[in-house]
This record gives sequence, structure tokens and C-alpha cells, in this order.
Amino acid sequence: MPSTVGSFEMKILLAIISLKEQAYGVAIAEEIEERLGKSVSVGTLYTTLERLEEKGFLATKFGDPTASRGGRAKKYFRLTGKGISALKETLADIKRIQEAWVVS
Amino acid sequence: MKQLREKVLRRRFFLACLRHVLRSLAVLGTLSLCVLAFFKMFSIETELVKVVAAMAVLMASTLFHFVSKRPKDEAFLAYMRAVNSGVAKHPEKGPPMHAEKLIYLILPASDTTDAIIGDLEERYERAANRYGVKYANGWYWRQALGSVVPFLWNRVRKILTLTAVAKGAHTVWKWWM
Repeated sequence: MPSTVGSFEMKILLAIISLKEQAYGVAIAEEIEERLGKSVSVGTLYTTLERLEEKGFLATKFGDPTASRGGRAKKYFRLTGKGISALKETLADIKRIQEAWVVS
Repeated sequence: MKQLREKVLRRRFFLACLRHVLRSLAVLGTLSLCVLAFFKMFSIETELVKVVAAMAVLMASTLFHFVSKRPKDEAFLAYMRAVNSGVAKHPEKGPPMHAEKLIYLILPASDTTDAIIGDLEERYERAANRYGVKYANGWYWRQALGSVVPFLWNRVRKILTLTAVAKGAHTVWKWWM
């Protein structure tokens, strides 16, 4: 049974889904900043991404090095089946809580 | 010219590495001498205590070596830049050198570290083009300082997990025996 995800983890997973094939560190941070209007530090972002990777919710691959990054490669992220299940479960939990509050 | 520069940087980097290894060996030697003096002073003869002490000294030196794993000087940064991009950058044109050094020091050596530094550099360049170098330098410093706690906590979390696993294994071992 897949576990659920935390609030910031959920935001990251949703940003990755929205970015599709272009989900790497800078794009994810900018997507979150644009949507939520809050700045994200690289430390917080990458530790959360690493945690999600450890849990098996994310798969990664390295792209080709580019000159604008000092010759360093981009690390691309995509959701695994386990990650999608965990995200769906978390969103369903939130929906259930919302409905319960609206009813009461 | 580029090749010559890279050669010089590589030589500087390896000299820095050599200095680092020698420093670690010096720590190992000093600790060993201290333990031997302690044994002599208190006339300790038990073999088990000696083995445990030797292991502790070895572990402490290894820890010292890995905690201060990367040579902490300009040669390292210059070498990393030269190897990754083929051309060493002028320090004034890139991100603040000390902030970049800080990131390299708190992160473990891995491909992810390079990706993180690359991400920072990409955003630094964009910020510099849009708002100017002064703003970009401030932004880079904020990112570096703001990342110290999460990255260090991540490392502590991993060590705590390993300790918990070791304790669990020890309990199982004791129960089994």
C-alpha cells in the first residue's frame, strides 16, 4: 500500500506532472514560485526531491551538459507508478476531509 | 593554451589532494601515539581494549578524512570548473566564489551535486542578466546560506537512520546469541 505525501512533497509532485518531460531543478523551483508566489531554496527543494526518490516516488535521469550551466548536466525527474498512487491517495484524503468539513 | 591551463589546474588540485591525505595521516599518527601513551601510562594489557582502541582511532581518522574530504581551496573550485566546462571561468564573472565553495563543502560528492551547482549557476546568470550582478550575488548567497540547514539536516538524518539500523542489528545479534 503506497504511503501518502506531505504538503511540500505534494506541491513538488504536482509541479513535476505539470512540467512533463522538462522537470529539472530550476524548472520545478520556478513553477512552484510562479504558482504559489513563494521563493524556494535549492536546499529545501533538493532534499525533498532526494527523499521522494528514496521513497521510490520519483525516477531520475541526467541530460546533456549545457554551456549556460558551466558544462553541468541537468537532472530530470518523473513520477513513478508508486508516486502517482501516493499523490492520488493524498489528494483523495484532502478531498474527503474537505467534504467532511463542508457537511458539518 | 586551454590544455596548458587545465594541466596546471589539475596539478594544483592533485597537490591539494595530497596535502589533504597527508593531513589525515598526521591525524591518524597523532591519535595512535596518544592511545599508545595512554596504554603505557595506565599499564593496559587487555587485548580486547587494544583492538577496540585501534578501531576507534581508525574510525576517528577516517571520519576526519571524509568530513573534510574535499580540498578546501581555490584549486578545487578552479579544477571542478575546468573539468566540467573545459574552460576555467574568471572568478569575477561567475557566482560568488565563497558561496559556491560553501555549497561544494556541504554537499557530498555526486552527480546530483553537479546538477545542483548547475541549477544555481543557470539561475544566477538569469538573475544577473535581468537585475544585475549585485542582485544576483545577493541571491546566490541567500541560496547558499539557506541551503546549509536542509543539506546538513539531510546528512544527519541519514546518519541517524544508519545508527538506528545498527542498534537494531545489535539487538537482534544479542537476542540470537
